[in-house]
Amino acid sequence: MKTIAQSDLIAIKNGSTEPLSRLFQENYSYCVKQLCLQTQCMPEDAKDLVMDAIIVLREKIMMEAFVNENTQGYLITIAKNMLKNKLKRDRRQLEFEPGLVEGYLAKKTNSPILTEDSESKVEIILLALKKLGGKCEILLNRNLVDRVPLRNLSDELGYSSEDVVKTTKARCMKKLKSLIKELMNP
Amino acid sequence: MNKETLLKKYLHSELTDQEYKTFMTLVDSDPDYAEEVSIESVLYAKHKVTLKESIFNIDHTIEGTNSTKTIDVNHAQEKRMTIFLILRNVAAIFILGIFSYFCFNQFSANTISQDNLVDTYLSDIHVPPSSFRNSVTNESDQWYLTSKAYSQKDYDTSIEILTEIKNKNNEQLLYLGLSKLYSQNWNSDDALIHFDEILSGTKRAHKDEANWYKSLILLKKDNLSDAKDILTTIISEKSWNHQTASKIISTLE
Repeated sequence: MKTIAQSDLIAIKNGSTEPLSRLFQENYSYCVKQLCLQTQCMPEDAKDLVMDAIIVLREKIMMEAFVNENTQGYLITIAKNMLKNKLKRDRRQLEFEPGLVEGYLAKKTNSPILTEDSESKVEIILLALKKLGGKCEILLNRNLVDRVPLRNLSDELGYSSEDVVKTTKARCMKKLKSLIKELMNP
Repeated sequence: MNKETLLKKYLHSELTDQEYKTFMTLVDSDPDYAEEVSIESVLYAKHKVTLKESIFNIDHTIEGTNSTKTIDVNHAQEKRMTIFLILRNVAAIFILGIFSYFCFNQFSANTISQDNLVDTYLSDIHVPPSSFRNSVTNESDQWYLTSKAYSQKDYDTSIEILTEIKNKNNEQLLYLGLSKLYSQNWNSDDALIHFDEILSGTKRAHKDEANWYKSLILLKKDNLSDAKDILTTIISEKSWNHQTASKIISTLE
């Protein structure tokens, strides 16, 4: 049973993507083969699922919620759950469903795409984010996307306390919203 | 469960059916929250795409393998050169012969591979418009009929309907260009006009696709310098198909 080396776990937690690339290369063939066999999905879809599973694994490590046991089994289980969720999509979708936006940004040809209007809005949000830049973008990404708790971020980003991070985050989000408004109604 | 936790669980696809209902009710009833959901969805998607590019840069690995191969080939050539130096008298003519042979081979191999690559990418039919795949338009609508014809590879019909649409948006211009590109009765110059129309416009939508197809057409027309300029822009802006553009650029060089 393969597990992830402690040094790699620390590197991933510190933001390195190199161990994840290696992890992907080492486990990709096996996981794709198993997913194709177990779920009858196409290899191309299985590849996407393994990539998404690696991203989830990274998130779990960041959140300190990762159980370091059988890595291949872990990746396959995550991928199978994601496939199950995908097939269960009788749920109403929002205009900016993250999967749709991801498909647009990655220019994937095999995924549903956004309407032209939504694409323009996405571009405006990205432009506003670019204008916001710096520490705000890092703070929002680390907390919202990587789900690093605010208390850990105060040390990581050099804030004096968790409360300061909380206030800064609210201020960043407010600034981002007003930038978007400005760009939408110039 | 508070709003923020619900949002984070939504982004990470972890909501149960019941939580999803609660989340949707909140989105529908609170415009501020809905705006936050939109922003954070884009933020999340952008971060995920960047991460994936960084982690799964498969092209990079392939380039790495190629450069290793190049180094091996160079070593082999050096060895051969040492032998040629020992047999100096014979070598002068022999090296020249080998050198010419290598140059010729390299040139023809590159041309073939570049042509093959461009043909492969051009024959890879672009996906039908989203409105058609998502079934959001009226079935009698011109745009729906165009999309349907396009998806059935009936490009002449899609051209016919699209030509009649006044004030075409970028998506319609793109599919008009693509239909002309794939149709037997039109040529790539006709398609190029529509891609140029998109590129000269002020709207950002579908410029990446227009740039990509314009570069392929220019390559087919042997206008290597202009094609290279566009491909270089695609690579530097990391826009759609930038990794494939790198592959083509490497065959050009």
